[in-house]
Amino acid sequence: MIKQMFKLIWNRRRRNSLMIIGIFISFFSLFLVMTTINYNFGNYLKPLGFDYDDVWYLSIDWKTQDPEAVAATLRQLENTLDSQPEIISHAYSISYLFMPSATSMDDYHYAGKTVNCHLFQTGDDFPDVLNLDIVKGRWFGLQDNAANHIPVVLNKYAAEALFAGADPIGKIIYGKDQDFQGENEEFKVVGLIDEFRNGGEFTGSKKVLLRRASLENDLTRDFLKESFFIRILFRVRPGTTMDFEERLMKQVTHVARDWMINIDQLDSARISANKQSMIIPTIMAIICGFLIINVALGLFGMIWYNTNRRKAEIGLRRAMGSTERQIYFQIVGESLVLATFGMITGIFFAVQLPLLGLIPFISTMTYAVSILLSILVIYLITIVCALYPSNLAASLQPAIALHDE
Amino acid sequence: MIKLNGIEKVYQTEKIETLALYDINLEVERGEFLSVMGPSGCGKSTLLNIMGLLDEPTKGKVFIDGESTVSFKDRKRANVRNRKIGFIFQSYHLINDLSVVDNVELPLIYRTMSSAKRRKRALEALEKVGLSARTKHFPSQLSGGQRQRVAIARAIVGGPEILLADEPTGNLDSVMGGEILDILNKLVKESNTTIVMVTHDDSIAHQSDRIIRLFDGSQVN
Ligand SMILES: Nc1ncnc2c1ncn2[C@@H]1O[C@H](COP(=O)(O)OP(=O)(O)O)[C@@H](O)[C@H]1O
Ligand SMILES: [Mg+2]
Repeated sequence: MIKQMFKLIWNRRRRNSLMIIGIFISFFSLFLVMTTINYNFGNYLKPLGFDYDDVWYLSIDWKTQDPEAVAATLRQLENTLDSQPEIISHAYSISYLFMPSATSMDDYHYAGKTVNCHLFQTGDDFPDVLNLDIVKGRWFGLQDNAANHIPVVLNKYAAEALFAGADPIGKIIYGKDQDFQGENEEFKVVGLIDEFRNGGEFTGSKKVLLRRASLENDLTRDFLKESFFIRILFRVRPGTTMDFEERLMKQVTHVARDWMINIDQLDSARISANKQSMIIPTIMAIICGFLIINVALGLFGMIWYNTNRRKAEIGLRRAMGSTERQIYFQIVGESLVLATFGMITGIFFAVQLPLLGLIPFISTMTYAVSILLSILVIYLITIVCALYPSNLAASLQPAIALHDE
Repeated sequence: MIKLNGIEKVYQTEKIETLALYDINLEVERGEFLSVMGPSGCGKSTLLNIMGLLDEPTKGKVFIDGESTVSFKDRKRANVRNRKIGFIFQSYHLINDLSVVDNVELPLIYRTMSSAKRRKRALEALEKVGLSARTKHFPSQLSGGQRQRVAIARAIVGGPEILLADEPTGNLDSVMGGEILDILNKLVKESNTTIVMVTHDDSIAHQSDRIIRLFDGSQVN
């Protein structure tokens, strides 16, 4: 019976091609959406690498000024923050947390290898502010004040890419490759951290290099010249209320009179980053939703139409000894076989993405799960669409079905 | 073999009620070749459908092999149609997208049987109707008479005791019709098959053992 079903579908392949193509297109779009959603959701389940609760920050915009004057005012601001009993710790953050679109990338070189990393510039108390775990080595600190290298901390992905399992601590990496004529920037790896997804909860794991930003060393104070904005992150005591924000605001604007300063909570930055990250998946999901509705309606129509056209065949099968159930399962089964043909085509194209590595940051696992979920959804839609026509076909009176030629 | 007791069939449509059969009492013996005649619309097809359990009477009982079929559920009815009855229709009712031999196998796919055995029996049936050379053809490549022979092969492939043929020669010229009738006659002789055949053609009807006539749903002789 199964064999004959395949034969019939094969012999009717031209008439069935519309349905197969429809299923192919919907499967592939569904697969793309599933991959996007899976990727984002998979990221969401991964650890962020740091805590954002009770972390606030000053956004500082000092306009153009003499670097020495900026440094002096920044020191005063640091003192102001030090003197607040509500503030546990604070640290510069030249780079932004929870701003997936604002990251800077740089090449770093080690033993002939070039690795592109996300650069994150930050201060000495950063691990305290964010409860960052140091896996190996140490964070930057006062002992680096006299250093003639720029101290850096790598996350595990950057360390793996540069040193391939060897101990990164103490290694010197370079800003330019060895052939570079002139002064080559030297970075000394002092520590190793695990995950650090500064872009936010829906962004992927990246290779990150965190470099010291400090006024206490000539090599690490260059941000004064290069930036006009920085942030100072600070951890407040649990339960600190919003009126502290107002009080602090008064004090910092008093210290830095003509600077633009804002106080925000890291949690709201996280939420807006999440919203930003969800825009594309949401749009895709909506488009896909419409697509699925269309496909379901089309599928339903086609199955119904085909069943109607095959009334005489259904009547004949009943006369030849088919039960109602067998008719029912034949229609559902044929629809599923057609769906399978459409999906085999779809899977062929879908597996090209991981095989060709077109999107390197999406894992094979994510693709595999997306393919499986898409298969499941398409089968489900097919079954739902086939139920009603199959039922109608099964309940046809055989004598009447045979009558309609 | 088949016994009809007080059969009445009423078709209820939105506007009108048609009395297609009224008080039919009939017994067909094993191995008997019975012809059913009557003008168009007198209920011949309805009668055949009821005998073949394709339709249910509004009143009355159908007995097959002495067993009342009133209480038969779908599964049992399907089984009886599959094992005991072979159908032949005026318009052949072949599946155009299946080859001749696949068409003939159709009743056997509703039994548990190996595909090799199915194929063997289908080829044997095709040989009986003289179509061994056309097993791989598709119905569209055959003449009307050949198509009806395929349909006969399909009707007999399961070894039924009863053949129900609704105007099997209705679409054929007299030569082809004669061939079809020869095949049916041979079946009655060789395998003692019971045949009930609807026909308009007197010369064909007269080759059968007995003729019954219907008029407006009632038996007239
Ligand atoms: N499914 C049906 N619904 C309503 N009326 C029907 C149906 N089938 C047959 N009839 C009516 O029943 C009568 C007998 O039909 P039928 O048995 O097909 O006649 P015959 O085969 O002798 O030409 C006709 O009047 C026909 O219109
Ligand atoms: Mg008729």
